[in-house]
Amino acid sequence: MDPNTLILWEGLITMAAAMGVKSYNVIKAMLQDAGADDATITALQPKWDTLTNDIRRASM
Amino acid sequence: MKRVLMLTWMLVLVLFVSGCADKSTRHTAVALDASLYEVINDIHTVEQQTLCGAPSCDGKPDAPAQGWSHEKSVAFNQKLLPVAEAGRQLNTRLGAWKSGEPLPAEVQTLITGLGDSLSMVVADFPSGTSKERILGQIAAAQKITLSILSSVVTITGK
Repeated sequence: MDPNTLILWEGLITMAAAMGVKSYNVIKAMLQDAGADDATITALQPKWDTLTNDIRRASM
Repeated sequence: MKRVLMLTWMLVLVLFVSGCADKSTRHTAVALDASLYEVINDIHTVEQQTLCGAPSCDGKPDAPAQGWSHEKSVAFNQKLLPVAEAGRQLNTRLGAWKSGEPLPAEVQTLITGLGDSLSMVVADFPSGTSKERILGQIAAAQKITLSILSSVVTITGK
């Protein structure tokens, strides 16, 4: 294997390792965020329903 | 060989970044949806307090502040209703929008509709502190809507 190819492979392996760690952290954060977002949406739905119903009552 | 590897890594990077962008858009929209609820709820609460002195006038006798009346309250809430309904629909659509999926067309339509409806709410409120507060809340709601649109436009490039 010529030196240039070796350097390229070393670079790619280093990059893959760095991206692997970063991807794991980002995906973990994304999953946590997604859970929080879904919980926020679920909690908001009855509040939106109540608010909309009260505004509808007040508009009649 | 080198070109194929480099192109493969570039493709992985592009897919990775685009996936994060969709996630970021949904997260921003959910956060702003929650803020929008607080703003519209505050607008309605202030208006009802002006009509009867309570956060909701359901079953309570009218005791309107000077310059306000039952008829004006009804007209005001008729204008506010489409905004609240659009916000409620937006929340439902956000619940169905999964991370990583493209921005649903319904979400963008609802956000645009919210901006249009809010502009119709600004009218017929008595002068004084309450009016200033209501106008301030509407301006804040419009700002929130524009923030959502801005993030959507920036990420989708439309």
